[in-house]
Amino acid sequence: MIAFLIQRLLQGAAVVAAMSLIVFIGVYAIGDPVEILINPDADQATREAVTQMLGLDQPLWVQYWRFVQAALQGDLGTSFVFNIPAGELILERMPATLELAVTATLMAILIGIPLGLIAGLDQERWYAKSILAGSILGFSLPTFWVGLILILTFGVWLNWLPVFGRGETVSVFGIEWSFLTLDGLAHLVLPATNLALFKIALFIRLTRAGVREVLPQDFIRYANAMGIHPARVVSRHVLKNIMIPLVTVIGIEFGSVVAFAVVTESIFNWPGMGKLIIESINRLDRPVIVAYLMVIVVMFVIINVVVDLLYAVLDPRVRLGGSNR
Amino acid sequence: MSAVPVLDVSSLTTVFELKAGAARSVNDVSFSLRRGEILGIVGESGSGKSVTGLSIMGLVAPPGRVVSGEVRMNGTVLTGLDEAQLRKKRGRDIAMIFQDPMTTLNPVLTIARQFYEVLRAHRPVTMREAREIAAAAMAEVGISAPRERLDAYPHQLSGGMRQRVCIAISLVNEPSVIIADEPTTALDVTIQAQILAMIQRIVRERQVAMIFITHDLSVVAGLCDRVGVMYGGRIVELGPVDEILADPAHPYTVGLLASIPGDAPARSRLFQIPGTQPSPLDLPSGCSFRTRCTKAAALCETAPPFAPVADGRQARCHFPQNRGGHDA
Repeated sequence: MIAFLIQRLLQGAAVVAAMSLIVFIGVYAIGDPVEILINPDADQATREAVTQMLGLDQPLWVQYWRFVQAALQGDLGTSFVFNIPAGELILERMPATLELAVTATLMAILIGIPLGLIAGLDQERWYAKSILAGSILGFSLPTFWVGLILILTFGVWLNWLPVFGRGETVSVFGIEWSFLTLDGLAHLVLPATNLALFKIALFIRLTRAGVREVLPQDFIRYANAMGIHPARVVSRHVLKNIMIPLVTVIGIEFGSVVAFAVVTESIFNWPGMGKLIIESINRLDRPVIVAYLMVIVVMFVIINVVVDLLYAVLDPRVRLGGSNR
Repeated sequence: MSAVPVLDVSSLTTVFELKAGAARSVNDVSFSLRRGEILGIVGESGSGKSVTGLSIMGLVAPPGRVVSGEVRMNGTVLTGLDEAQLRKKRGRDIAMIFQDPMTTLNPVLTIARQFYEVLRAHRPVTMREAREIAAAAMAEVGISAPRERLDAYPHQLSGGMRQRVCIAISLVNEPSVIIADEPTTALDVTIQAQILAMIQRIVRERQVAMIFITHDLSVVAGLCDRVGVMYGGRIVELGPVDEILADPAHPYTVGLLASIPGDAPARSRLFQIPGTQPSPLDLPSGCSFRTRCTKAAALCETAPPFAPVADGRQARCHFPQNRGGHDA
C-alpha cells in the first residue's frame, strides 16, 4: 500500500515534469504575446522593454528553467494581462468550475446508472429499448447545440430558468458558492444538465453492458436459485461487480469536465476556468495557459490514484503493489 | 428412508421455443424421491438432465418454459406457485449446487457475506448470527479453521474448498431437497472422492433427498441409491443403481455401460454407441433411441410406454434386454 502510493507519486511527478516541458514548448510556439499586449503604435524601444520585462528575450531553455524554479516554489508565473499570479487567477475561478463539474457528474451518476440498470435488466421491454435509443442522442448531439436549445427552451420560451452566470452566491471559507442559494441552484441547472447529458448517455451504456455481462454468470444464477430477492440480487450482487469500469470512467469524465467545460461555460457565461483559459488563449497569456494545464495535469494524476485505490476497495482480487509492471 | 416421497415429479415437460422450432428438452419425466435418498440422473450433454433440475426449481429462463406436468414437494405443488411464492421455497426447501465452484460464488463478496445473503433471504438474521451459523456449516463440510475463512474472498480458496463452501451455503437453510448439478465434474479426482463421501454422509445424517445430475456412471455407482438414465429429454430407464448397472434393461443403458473404458482390455478398440444423439428440435418419432439402436424394429416407431420391467424398475423400451425381449 505504502509502496504503491510512493510508486504512484513518483510516476505522477514524472508525468507532471514531462507535461510541463511539452506544454511550455507548445505554448512558446504560438504567436507573440507582446504584439497583443502593447499598443500597435508603440515604438521599437517600448517593444523591447516589454519583451525584456516579461523575460521573452531569453532563449527557450532559460525561460523554461526559470519557470521550473519558480514553479517548485509554488509560483506558476504572473499573468501578462492581469499582472496577478496565474495560480491565484486559476484558483479564483476553480470553485465555479468544480461546482459545475461535481453537479454534472452527480447528475450523470444518479440518472445514468439507474437507467442503465433498467436498460440492462429488462432489455426486451419497450422502455429499456427507449432508454438505449435515447442514449444515442446523448452521445451524438453536440454540446454547444444542446446548450443553445436548452437556453432557447427553458430560458427564452418557457422562461423557467436563468441562463446567464452564477446567480447569487454565498461565501464559505472565503470561496463563493452558487449551490447554497436558491437563485444559484437555478442558475446551475441548465449548464450542469448540458454537461451531464453526454455523461448520462455514457453511464447508461456502460452500466447496461456491465449488467448484460454479469447477469448470465453462475453466481447470479446461484443467488436466484437460493431464493434471494431480485432487488437484492441487483443491489448487492450485480452492482458491485460492475463498479470497476464505472469508477474508471467516472474518474476520467470528472477530470475532463473540470478541464474542458469550455463550451458550456462560454455558452452559459459561467465564470469558471474554461472561460478563463479561452480568454487567456485569445490574449496569448502564456503563464495562465501553462499554469492552467499544469493544474489540470496534477488533477488527473490525483484522480487516477484515487480510482486505483477505489479498485482495491471494490474488487478484492485487485492487489495494490509497488511492483514494476 | 421413509416411504412417503418428499419430491414427486410427474410428466414434467419443458420446451424451448426457438426460432428453429420447439425443442423438447425435458419430455414427460416422472420420478419420486424419498428422504435420505440420492437419485442419480445420468445422460450425455444435451440429454436434458440439467434442464430437468432447473425445471423443478422453476428456474428455466425464457425462451424455455415448463409446459406440462407437476412437481409436488411435501404436498405443495411447486409448478402451481407464482414466482414470489416459489422464491420463498428456493434455497429454503429446495436448494441447488452448481457445477463450477470457481464461478458459483460471487467474486466480490466475502464468504461470510454470501452466507448472510442466503440466510437473510429466508429469515431475519444479523450478520453476527450469520457468521456463527456459517462457521458451523463450514466445519460440517470439512473446512478447517472455518472462522478464519469467513472474511476470505472466493479467489483465496482452492477449487475443492470453494465447492465445500457452495455445499455449505446450499445446506444452510436446511432444505429437504437438494439438486446437485455435476458438482464434482470440475474437480480433481482425489478432491472429487472427498466431496462425494462428504455429500453422502450429509445426505444420510440429515435425511435430505438429493438429485445428483452427472454424466459419470462411476460416480453414480459409488454414490446413488437409484438412477434415472436420460436420453433425448426422456428418462429411458429408472431403478436401483446396482440392479441397473448389473443388468441394464434399456439398449441405451447397455450401450452407455459398454462405453466405459474401465473394463476394456488395453489397446482394444473402445466401444461406442453408433450415431449421435438426436437434436431435441428433431426427435425421431416413437422411441427416440431407435435410430441408433441395434434392436430397433417396426414397433419402435410407436412410442414405448415407461413400463415396469422388474420390481421398482421401469424402462421405456418395447424390447427390454434380458427380460424376454425379441432377441432372447
